[in-house]
Amino acid sequence: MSHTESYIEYQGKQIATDPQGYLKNVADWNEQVAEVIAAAEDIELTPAHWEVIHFVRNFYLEYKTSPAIRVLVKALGQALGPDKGNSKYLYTLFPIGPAKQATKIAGLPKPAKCL
Amino acid sequence: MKKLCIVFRRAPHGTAHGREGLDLALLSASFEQEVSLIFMDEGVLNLLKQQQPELIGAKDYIATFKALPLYDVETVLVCKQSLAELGLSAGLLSIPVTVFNHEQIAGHLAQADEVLVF
Amino acid sequence: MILHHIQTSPNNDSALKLCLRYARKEDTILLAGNGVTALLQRQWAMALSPFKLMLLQQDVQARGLGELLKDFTQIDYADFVDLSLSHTKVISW
Repeated sequence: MSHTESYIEYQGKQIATDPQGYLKNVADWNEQVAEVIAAAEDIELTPAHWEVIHFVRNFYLEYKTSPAIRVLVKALGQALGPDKGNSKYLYTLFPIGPAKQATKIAGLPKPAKCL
Repeated sequence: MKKLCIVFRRAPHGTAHGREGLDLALLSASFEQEVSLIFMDEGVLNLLKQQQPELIGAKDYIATFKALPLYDVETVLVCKQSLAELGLSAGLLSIPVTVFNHEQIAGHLAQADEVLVF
Repeated sequence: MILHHIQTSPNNDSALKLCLRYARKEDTILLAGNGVTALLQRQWAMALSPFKLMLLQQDVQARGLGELLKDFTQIDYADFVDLSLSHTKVISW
C-alpha cells in the first residue's frame, strides 16, 4: 500500500482524493470545492456547467452510480430538452469527456465504466 | 444485437453476485444489447424496498436497479413461485416488474441468445 | 434445446431445484462437480428421470461413485464440448 496520499487544498484544509483527483468522500463536496477541482481541469464554470454538475450529482445520489455517457445524454435530454441532451453539447462544456470531468467536478467517484 | 438474459437467483449482500449481475446488465445495455432480467428463488430479495446495505458495510447497488429504464432495460421478470415461497407479493418490490409462472420463464429462457446466472 | 449445467450439490445450493423448475422436456441436464451426488438421493433421481441426463465421468470417478452411478450416461470433456455445440445454449446454474 502506498503512503502517498492525494488531496486538494481548500480553505487551508486537505480533502482526500484518489490519484486521479476524484474525491474519496462524496460528502466532502460543496460548490467551492467544485471550483477548485474545475480549475485543475482548466474549466471555467458557467451556469451551463453547473446545470450538468448538479444533474450528475443528483443522479448519483439517487441511483448510487455515476451515469455512463449514453445514459447521461438520455437523462439530460428528458430533464432539460434535446438541445442539452446530446453529447456534442456536453463535450463543448467538458472537452476531455463529460462522464469523466463532470463526475469529478461533482465530487463523485470515477465512473466504473466510462463509455 | 444479442438477447442477453441475466438471472438473479441469490440473496443480496452475502455475496457479490447480485452487484456483478447488475453491473453486467448495465454494461451490456450500454453496448446496446437487448438485456432482460429474471429474479428467482432468493434473488427476488434484491428487489425488496427499504434496504440499507451500508449498515452491514455492503455497497448500496440496490438503488441502481431504479436506473434500469434509463439504460433501456425494460424487461424485468419475477418468478411467481419464488415470490410465493418467500411469502412476498410484487407490491413489496422497489421497481415495476412482470410476474411470470415457471412455464413463461422457461419460454423466456428458450428465446434468449445467452443466459447468465448470478 | 438447452444444456443445463449443474455443478453443486442440491443439499448446498438451489441450482438443481431451479434448473428442474424451468427445464423443458427436450432439454439436457449435465451434472458435474458435487452435482453428481444428487443421484444418490431418491427424490432427486426421480425428479431428474424425465430429462436426458449426463454425468461428467471424471467427477463421478473422483468421488468413488462409478459403481453406484453406473446406470447413468457418463461423458468426458470432449463429449461436453460436443454437447454444448449441439444445444442452442448452455445455462450454468
